[in-house]
Amino acid sequence: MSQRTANIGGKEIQLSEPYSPDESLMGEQIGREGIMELITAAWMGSKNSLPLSPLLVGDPGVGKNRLVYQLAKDRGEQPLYIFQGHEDVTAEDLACAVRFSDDKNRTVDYIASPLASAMHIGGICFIDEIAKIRPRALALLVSVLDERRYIDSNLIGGRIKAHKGFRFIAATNTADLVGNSLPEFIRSRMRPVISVGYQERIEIDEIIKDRYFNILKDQMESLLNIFWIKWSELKKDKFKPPTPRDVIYLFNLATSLADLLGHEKVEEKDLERAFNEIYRDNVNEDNE
Amino acid sequence: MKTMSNSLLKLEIEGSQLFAVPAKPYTVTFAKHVNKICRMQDTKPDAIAVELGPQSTKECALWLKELNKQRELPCVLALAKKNNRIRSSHKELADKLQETFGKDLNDLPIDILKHLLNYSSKSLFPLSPTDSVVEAIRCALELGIPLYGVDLEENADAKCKKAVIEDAASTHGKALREYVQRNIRYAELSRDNDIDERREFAIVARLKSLLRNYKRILFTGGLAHWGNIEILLEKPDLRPAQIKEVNEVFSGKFTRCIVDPLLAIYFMDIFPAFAGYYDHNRTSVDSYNQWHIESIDVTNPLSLFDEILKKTYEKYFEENCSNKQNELLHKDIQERTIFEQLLSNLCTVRRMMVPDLPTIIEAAQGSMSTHFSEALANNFMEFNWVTNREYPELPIIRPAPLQTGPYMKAEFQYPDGSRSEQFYLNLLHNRRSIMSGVSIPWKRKELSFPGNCSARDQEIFLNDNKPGFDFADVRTWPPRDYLITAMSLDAEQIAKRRGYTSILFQGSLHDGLDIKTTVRSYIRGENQIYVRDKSVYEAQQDAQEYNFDPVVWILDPFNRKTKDSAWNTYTGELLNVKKFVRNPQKLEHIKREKGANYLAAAVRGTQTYESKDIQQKGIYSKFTIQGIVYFILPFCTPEQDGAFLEGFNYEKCPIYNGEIDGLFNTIKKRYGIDLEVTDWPISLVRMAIIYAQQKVTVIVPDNFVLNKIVHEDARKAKIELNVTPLSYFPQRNIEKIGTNYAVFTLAGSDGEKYPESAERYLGEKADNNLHLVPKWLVNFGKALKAVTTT
Repeated sequence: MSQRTANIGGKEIQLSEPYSPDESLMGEQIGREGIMELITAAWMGSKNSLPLSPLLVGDPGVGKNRLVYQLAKDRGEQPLYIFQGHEDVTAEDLACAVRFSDDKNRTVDYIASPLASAMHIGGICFIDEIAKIRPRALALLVSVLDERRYIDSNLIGGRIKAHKGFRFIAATNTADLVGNSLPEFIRSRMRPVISVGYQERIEIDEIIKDRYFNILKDQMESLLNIFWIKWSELKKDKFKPPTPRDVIYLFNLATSLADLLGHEKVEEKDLERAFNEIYRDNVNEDNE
Repeated sequence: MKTMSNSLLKLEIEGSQLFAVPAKPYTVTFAKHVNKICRMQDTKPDAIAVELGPQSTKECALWLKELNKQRELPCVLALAKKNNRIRSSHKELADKLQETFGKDLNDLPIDILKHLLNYSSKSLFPLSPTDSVVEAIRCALELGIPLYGVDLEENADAKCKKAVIEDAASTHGKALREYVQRNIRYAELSRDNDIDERREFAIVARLKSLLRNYKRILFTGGLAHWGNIEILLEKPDLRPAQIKEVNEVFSGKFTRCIVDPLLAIYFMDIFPAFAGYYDHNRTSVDSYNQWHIESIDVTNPLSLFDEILKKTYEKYFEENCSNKQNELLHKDIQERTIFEQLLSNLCTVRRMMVPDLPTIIEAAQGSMSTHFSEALANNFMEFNWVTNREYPELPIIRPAPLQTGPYMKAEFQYPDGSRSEQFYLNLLHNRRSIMSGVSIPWKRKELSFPGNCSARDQEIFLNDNKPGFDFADVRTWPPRDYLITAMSLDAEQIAKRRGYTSILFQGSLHDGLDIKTTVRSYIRGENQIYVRDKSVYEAQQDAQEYNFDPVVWILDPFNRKTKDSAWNTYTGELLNVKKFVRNPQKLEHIKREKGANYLAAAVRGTQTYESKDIQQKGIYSKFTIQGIVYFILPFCTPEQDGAFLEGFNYEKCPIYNGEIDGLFNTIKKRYGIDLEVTDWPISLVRMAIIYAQQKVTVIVPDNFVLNKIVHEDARKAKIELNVTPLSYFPQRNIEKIGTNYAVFTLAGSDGEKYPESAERYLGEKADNNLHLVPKWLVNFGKALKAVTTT
């Protein structure tokens, strides 16, 4: 698949590939209306103020990325560019990378990062796990997130200005934020900080029904009941609702086990086995 | 059969008229419609029916009748009732749960019951003037006409989906019919057929019966029900069902209570001032006053909102502008437009004409400083809230501290200061769970019970209220001390687990190459490669490695500006430990050089003194802790304190003269750190860093980020700062360590025995939780002496 290119600072730059979530795997967005409204409002901007750049904070698996996919979907044609944060990201990684060219007529190819690509095209840039990026690398974001809305890249030798439609959002796990890992100069530019909490049972059930309705059909309610019993047994001392990821992984494994064992439909024992496989350590710990 | 009359909803059924006000709960617009129908000569009803069970309606009417002497309703009083139902579709799951846990449903944890069975153990009906049902009952009492509760009395919690409907303010109190037509299909999205259909059948059957007996009836209930009620009213096969007027109904079991403002705001329409404005301008419906109706109709919530916002700006920016160094203020001034824009955008997205309080706070927290959000919350929460001064016999229902999860957890605080078990809540008239929403940064002024007194009076009070037994002194309650010690040890372990450990590379990269350690190894000539691993290092805490460094607990950092919150200290006098140290001369020298007192812990929070009755039982006071730093383990006796002080050369805790001011002055003088100018969470950690030798463990709420000042302090002092989130600990334990009781100890027991009456009152033996603390730590004083002797 050929990548799109852009001319920035007189150089031909290859743009990153936008991400299109697989709709069949994504399912419907269930719940989270308040958060979706807040992000939409933050992104609206106006004549007098620029769009804001929200930061999603929550435990792993609560559905932060899912929310961003939904927002991108709701915004129609606007492409979504995802940058995965980790400890080894450098400031230049956030702007542009260079590689030896396969084209004999050129020495190097310039590749715009997902952030730079989103800025140029007017897409959405989503930095996942932003708190894992070291502060010195994040310094580059300062000019993107304030009224300047540009980044300067030494490699390109030019400035990438944000298109009017450019929108920014980032996410981090709650635990990564403890200990001031996100420097103040970035934190103060990321607003609003939105806490993504756990969902109520009705929503978790809806998510499973939406995804597995064709597979589980009439056993849906009884399997969900088994799941909840096992979950509460596991968490009896300090009940904590499951995340959508917890439940989706579990039902995925249960359906795979049923396939593998040649069961016509997912049986209770498939779900119980899946549960024991995934939470084996916790169950043992609990029993001890 | 039916006609629509003007802007009102009126049905003609078999010669009778039914005026309906399908309403959004706790919304002034609909209360006004009810008021208007009852006031106007051509619509005034012969009887009123409300969407509430008969017993609930009776109880509500009785209380409103008592309150009728007051022109305005005290806000907010409520009726609470035990909920006995779970939905029938959950029966199988309920049976399995009982089987699995081997317990009755009543004995299962409330979190499991709520999340699995959607069961709230309490239902609440707040008597807010903003609600159309409350207004209807008030009108029935004022007009002296029959009143009927036509809903079912007992219902399970409904599963509720959020439905976005148009802001009711758009009707301007007039076009109800059009509003209902525009919004009913959206409101119906929030219906729960399993629960609501049964209720609607009952409501319609009872309404049909009433329509036979009265010429003109007013009915008010939820907007989401109205579509189905209309359909059912037309069905001839749904027979009328007899219903008793409230005066003939048997009384039910209800608890009258005061609703804490932080919970009450959900029942005050968009914000308290608007609800107050409506009730203030409302007059009795038994006198016709066209002018008055119109004056209420033109109440503009937007102008009220503008007024409060303007007041906040003036107060906040003017009060703070004298402080030119205030960076936050300058930032807030610059970013005011961003706040206003975000708020305006939120209103557009949420279809609001005027923002409600949670939305206002959400926008402020998303764009302005914490201080501004607090100032805004203070102004919008300004209201003449009812307190237990007016109703000393009533318990207060309030949100439980440290909410987690999507549903709101609540508790009762009783007049004697004790608190109930926590429970989940639904609303009595629509059975929808109360959800935990945006956290409002407003500190409730501590509601004082008659037994409480100010700090100024405590000495006199104590003299007058000595317990009925000989006491030695007053000490903190040991079970809580043992618990926080055990949790502090856990916190240190958790912090360690979250750190990296370097291990020799043996084939797996684990969490990546540890370059520094590898380079050092090459410098040493070992030529070994090291990798980082998060998981392997999990040493058992033992006496050898425990170094008694300070531990800071920040439990509630978001209420730092509250008036009731104050500094307090747990201190001892050096002279009292003199007999326990090996070198009394050195102690004397330290006393002369540094001061007469040593600090075991500095604490921030609110202290309340117990009533005479409770003091007689042996409980002196209660301290609600927002944050605390421990220098010396809380359960230590003077003997152990002496061993600690001497063992660490009098360097691991502050030693000073005087009270808290003396402590701050000492630190300012010796270390150049002014603890009074920073927020208290920062001050606590800075204090800990000064006296730490290797590390400071800080436990903070999730999402709370320590200020960079403390990281800078730690870096300079070469102290490791270990931060652990509160969520690592069970909620009930966090709640338990958040309250510190001071209890009288029995005379002749060296301060180690506590009265049985105190144990009974506090619900546990004084040695409860002792097993949680390692024995070597319980006896550490002796161990230290041995170490220092050798």
